[in-house]
Amino acid sequence: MRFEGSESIRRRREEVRAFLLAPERVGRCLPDLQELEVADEAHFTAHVRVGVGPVRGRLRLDVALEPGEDDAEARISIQGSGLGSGLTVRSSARLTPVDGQTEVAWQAEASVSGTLATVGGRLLEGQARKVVEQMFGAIRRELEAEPAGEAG
Amino acid sequence: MSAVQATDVIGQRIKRKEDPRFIQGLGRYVDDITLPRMVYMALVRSPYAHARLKAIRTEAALAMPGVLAVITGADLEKAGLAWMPTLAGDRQMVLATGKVLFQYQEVAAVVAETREAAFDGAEAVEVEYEPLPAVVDPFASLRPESPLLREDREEKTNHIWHWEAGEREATEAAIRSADVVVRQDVVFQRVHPAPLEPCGCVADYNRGTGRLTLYVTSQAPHAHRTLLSMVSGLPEHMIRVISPDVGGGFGNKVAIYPGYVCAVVASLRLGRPVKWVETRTENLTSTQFARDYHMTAEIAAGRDGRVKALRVRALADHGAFDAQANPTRYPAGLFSICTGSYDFPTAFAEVDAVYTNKAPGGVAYRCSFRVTEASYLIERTMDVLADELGIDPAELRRRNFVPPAKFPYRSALGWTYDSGDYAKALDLALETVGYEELRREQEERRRRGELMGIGLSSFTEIVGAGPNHLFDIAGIKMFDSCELRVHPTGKVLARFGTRHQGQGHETTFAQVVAQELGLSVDDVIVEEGDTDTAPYGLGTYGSRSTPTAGAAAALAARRVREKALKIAAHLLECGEEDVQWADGRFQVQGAPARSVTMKDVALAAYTNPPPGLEPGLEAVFYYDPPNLTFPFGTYVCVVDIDKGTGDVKVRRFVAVDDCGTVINPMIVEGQIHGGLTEGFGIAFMQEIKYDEDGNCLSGNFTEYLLPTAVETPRWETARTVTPSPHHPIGAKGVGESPNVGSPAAFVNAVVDALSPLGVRHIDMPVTREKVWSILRSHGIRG
Repeated sequence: MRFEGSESIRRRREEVRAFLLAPERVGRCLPDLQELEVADEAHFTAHVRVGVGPVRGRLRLDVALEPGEDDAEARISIQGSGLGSGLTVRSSARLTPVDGQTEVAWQAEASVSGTLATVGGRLLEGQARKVVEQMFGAIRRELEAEPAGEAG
Repeated sequence: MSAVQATDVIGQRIKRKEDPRFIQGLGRYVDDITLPRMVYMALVRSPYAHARLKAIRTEAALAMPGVLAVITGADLEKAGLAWMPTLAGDRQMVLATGKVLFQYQEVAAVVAETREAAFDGAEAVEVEYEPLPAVVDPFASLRPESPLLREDREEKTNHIWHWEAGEREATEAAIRSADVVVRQDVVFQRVHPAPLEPCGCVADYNRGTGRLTLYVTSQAPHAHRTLLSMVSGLPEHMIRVISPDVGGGFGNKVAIYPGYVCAVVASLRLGRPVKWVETRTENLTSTQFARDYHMTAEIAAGRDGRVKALRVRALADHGAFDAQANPTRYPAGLFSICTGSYDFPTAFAEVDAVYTNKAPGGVAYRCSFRVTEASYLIERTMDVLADELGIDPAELRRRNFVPPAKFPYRSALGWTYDSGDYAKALDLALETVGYEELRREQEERRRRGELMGIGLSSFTEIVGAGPNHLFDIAGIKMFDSCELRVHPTGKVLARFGTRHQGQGHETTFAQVVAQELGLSVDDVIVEEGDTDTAPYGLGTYGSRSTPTAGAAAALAARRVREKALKIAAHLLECGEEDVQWADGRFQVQGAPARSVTMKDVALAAYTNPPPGLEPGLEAVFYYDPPNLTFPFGTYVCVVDIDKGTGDVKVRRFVAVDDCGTVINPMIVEGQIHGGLTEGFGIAFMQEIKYDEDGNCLSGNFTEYLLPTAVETPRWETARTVTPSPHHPIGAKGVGESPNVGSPAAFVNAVVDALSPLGVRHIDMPVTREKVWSILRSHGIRG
């Protein structure tokens, strides 16, 4: 499954990128978060509630935040397990300054195995897209709720 | 055959003796069994189709309330039980070690005080995987760049075996020199037997007696006992297998599944009875599937339509382990029946089997070992030939049938057909459906742009495995058995090595025994499924029960009669040579009024036996059939297709079956109705599908559809009777004919309807979407 989208965030690129590389900040943006445990400056483990069709319960997500190729990129990798299922998400965000704001063009590639894929079936793609969109939406809201940094 | 009685029991439409308990909900299935101190097991299964197992963490699960034990592959490895042999000579992981090879593969077993706690415990087991690329397509599996799936094997390839039969050179020469050659690729998709009762067991190891009782939903309890003894090392007499009422099997309950081994291990470890009953999803995604044969057929023929040669190639997808349940000598089962009802002078067939990252199998789903694939292939390709030559499909079949005078008939691929009159069944089917009139109607409708199709299938089966010198499973010869005990009051207990799952043995076998002993069917009770009491037998599948155990019933009864005749002579105060069995009683020759019944004899066997003769009246017979039996028939299907939606409506379906002597016409008709309904599901609705990552997309009944009364057409049945010359009562077995014969009739009808568009073949399932797409691609709209 491949998704993409964009968010326009009223913050500078450096601020956005710093947010995307901070485990405790990104972690809070995961939809239906139950528990968050930061392992180090680039990794965290989160437990989230999921519900796809009749499959409902808790997933463990091991998340790695990576800087990407240059200052204009940030990457998030997620390895999920639980509910008799496996989940892999590789996503990257391209950050472009536009009129004092930052355009975040994100894309994500997800593969899902196990019960979520087989029983969730037709509902899965829509649900997965919603979760990724919610995450980037939450990142925008969190960032904009913080006081703006010094103009660079 | 025995002399005709005043009231023949064989051939009567006797209501099934087992039905009152089933109809009233009084059947006793595995999940109805509750034993004192019983605990429950649930399995942790792999979400990945192909992955390395990095770690299994059980601490959290063991800390859950009610959880008693977690068993992993590493635990089983210590006991030498991490792998078990399959019936096909391969081996299969009981619980994964090293890596997983299909989605939903068994990874760990959790045992707990309640079913719920076991499932919660299973969810709490943490398994770390490293996903590997999955191989889903059997053709891709053979490419050199494909990852090696079975690292445990010496042969470093995904290819499992090659099998062939017939004359390669002669067939190729005939194809080269023929007037016409048609070639058709045909896929018989992966389907599932999907019995309404899923698989399950209760393993009860008694530490006091040292005995293991395994209640298991099994089609072959004795074979399960022997194999369990071989796998576990427990002495065979210390194992008792009880297969209680079985809620449908269709081949799905022939194999031993990892869950059974785990439940036995758990019971041995805990000293408590352990129940494991799988879920619907577990049944559909991890237990024996069927088919998944990717075939190509070529028929060489003359312009007159006479067939000259048949060449067949097939690729068999067995999934992660070759766990099919075929007789040892026949890795491709009885696929070499693919010459069907036709007199091919020469033929050649070859099959290659491969591993993929899919559930292991495949079993003969209501089919005598790959006969369904073979029958579908030849009946589909005969229609392709008819289309090529412009000959009516019924006429083309008639021209090529093996004629009655040629029986017993030796086929080009080596089988000796026992008896048949194929044209008779075809004629009756055509007459019943009104074939000529339908073809006229079709012409008129075609002129009006309407889509109507007529499909035929003149199938031949090969069932009743089997002669001992040819057939065995894991070395055990494929005979079957009957033990009769006649009580002093003339009532009979009849026990068999088979195990019915809805076939009606409690009635049909009682009819055979009653007929042979001159009793009422109510005087006979049939018992199957308990290895402590039933005589050894190979079980019920491959339409083998009537050909083998049914024959054993007749012959055990005749043994009883031999002894009974001595007692009758004693009672009639005459010599044995003066007594004859006629009209269901023992009569003095020349003075038929002087007679005694089996009831009189039974009482005397215990109260007044002749001097020198041991008391009692019992017999046992182990029947080794001299040959297989070859049921046949012609099915005709008439369809109308909605041009707007692609919906195929089955307007008529006439099934003419010939299964030799019919013991109970009502049961035979019931079998045919059931099998046709399954064939309808296969043809139009069903496929076990996987995505490119090896996720099974058909793990429940919203994705894997079963026909209900709403979709199912009305079936019209008729029959011809061509007895088997070698069976004691001339019967052949019928349970599988409708599933074997019908898919081709359905698909042939749809293709016939679409043939004006140039359509020659559609792979199953023939869904509305597929038909709609074909119509749209030809610019046809409703």
